Amino acid sequence: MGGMKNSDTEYIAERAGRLAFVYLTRRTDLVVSPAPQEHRVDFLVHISSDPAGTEQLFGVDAIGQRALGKAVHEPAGAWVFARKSGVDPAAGEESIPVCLFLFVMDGDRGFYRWLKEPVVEADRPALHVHTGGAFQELDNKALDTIIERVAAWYAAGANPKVEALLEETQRDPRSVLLLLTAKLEEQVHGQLQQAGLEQIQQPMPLLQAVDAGVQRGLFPSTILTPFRDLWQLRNSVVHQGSSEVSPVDALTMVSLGTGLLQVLATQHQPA
Amino acid sequence: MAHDYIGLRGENMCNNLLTKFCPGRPLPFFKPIFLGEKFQTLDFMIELVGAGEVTPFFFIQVKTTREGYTKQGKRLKVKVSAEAMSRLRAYPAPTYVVGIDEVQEKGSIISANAGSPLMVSSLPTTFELECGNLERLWQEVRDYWRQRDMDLKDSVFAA
Repeated sequence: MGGMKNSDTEYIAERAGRLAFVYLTRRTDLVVSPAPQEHRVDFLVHISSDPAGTEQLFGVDAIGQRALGKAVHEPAGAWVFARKSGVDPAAGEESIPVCLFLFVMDGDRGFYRWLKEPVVEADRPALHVHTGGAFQELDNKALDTIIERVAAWYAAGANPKVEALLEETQRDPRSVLLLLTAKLEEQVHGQLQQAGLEQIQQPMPLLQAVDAGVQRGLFPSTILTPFRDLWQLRNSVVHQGSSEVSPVDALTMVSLGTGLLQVLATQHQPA
Repeated sequence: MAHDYIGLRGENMCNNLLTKFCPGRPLPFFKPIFLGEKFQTLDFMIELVGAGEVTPFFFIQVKTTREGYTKQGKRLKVKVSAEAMSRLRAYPAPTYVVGIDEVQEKGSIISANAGSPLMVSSLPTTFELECGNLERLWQEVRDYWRQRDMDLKDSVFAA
């Protein structure tokens, strides 16, 4: 049997994960699941008490250490630990808020800090990345604060899918642009064909199809300008071989694309 | 309630109590191995850590409650049927019942081998899972196996 070969590191890592689960499930409105491998955190936590029923998700990474050691308790209440983070740096790539839980095995005390902190600035949601910093004591009150912060971030309109697209845009702008435009084409042609305005075998060029849909009342006229703007951007990236996309262009691209998709998906058939 | 985690919380708390780091020991006393849903009576097989060349072990069943304690005697309100107690006693190894107070996140242990085989309707909290009792439990199980010569010397499958 392998019982003799375990190191304290293995025990500490396992206990930290279990303590995180126990702490989180003190609240009965949280659904706590081990994160699938494509996420680089230990747990995905779903807040199920949101009255609007929107998908409110955040990540938790759990680490541990044997004793407080040289941790310093600052007068304002924060704790500064003398340790390397021990966190997978990829946890910072998540497009959702991510909290780091640190458990000290002596006394099973919990502490936390944000890796990706949800903030609302000028009524807009944002995620601040922290590579280090002080911890706060983790207790039931702190857990409530964490949930409130995440809920406020979503209430301010945060959309992690857009965040994920933005991050992917920085890595591979062409593929994201092609994905978005392919989805838009699919939506536009699908709706025109469903309304009998276009034959499957003879699809119109996209901008012409959008015009036709607007003229017949299938789409609102407000989508014309953003559609043309997006196509101009698309042409500059795809046809002119722009290999680098500025952050502003990336934001514009994703914002226009996802906005248009949402509008197309919510429009009604013409009377 | 969105999700009822009482069973999972109890198992995780029990695991954490048994693997508590105690003063003067580099490693916890025990290494729990979860037996899975298919085991009707037993929840964990527990190996002793640091007991020498062989690895003594014991079994536990975990019972978790949010009901708190009896007014008289301050016993944890968990039930173990007479049938379950009989099954626990049928294993030729040290076997215990761990009661978990899910609200206070505390646990206590009783032996299923010693005492009455009758139904348990509440659990005494005399033996809380803290470092002193963890050490006593470790010694009890180690001594149990030490007193027995468990070597199978004349196996028909001997190489």
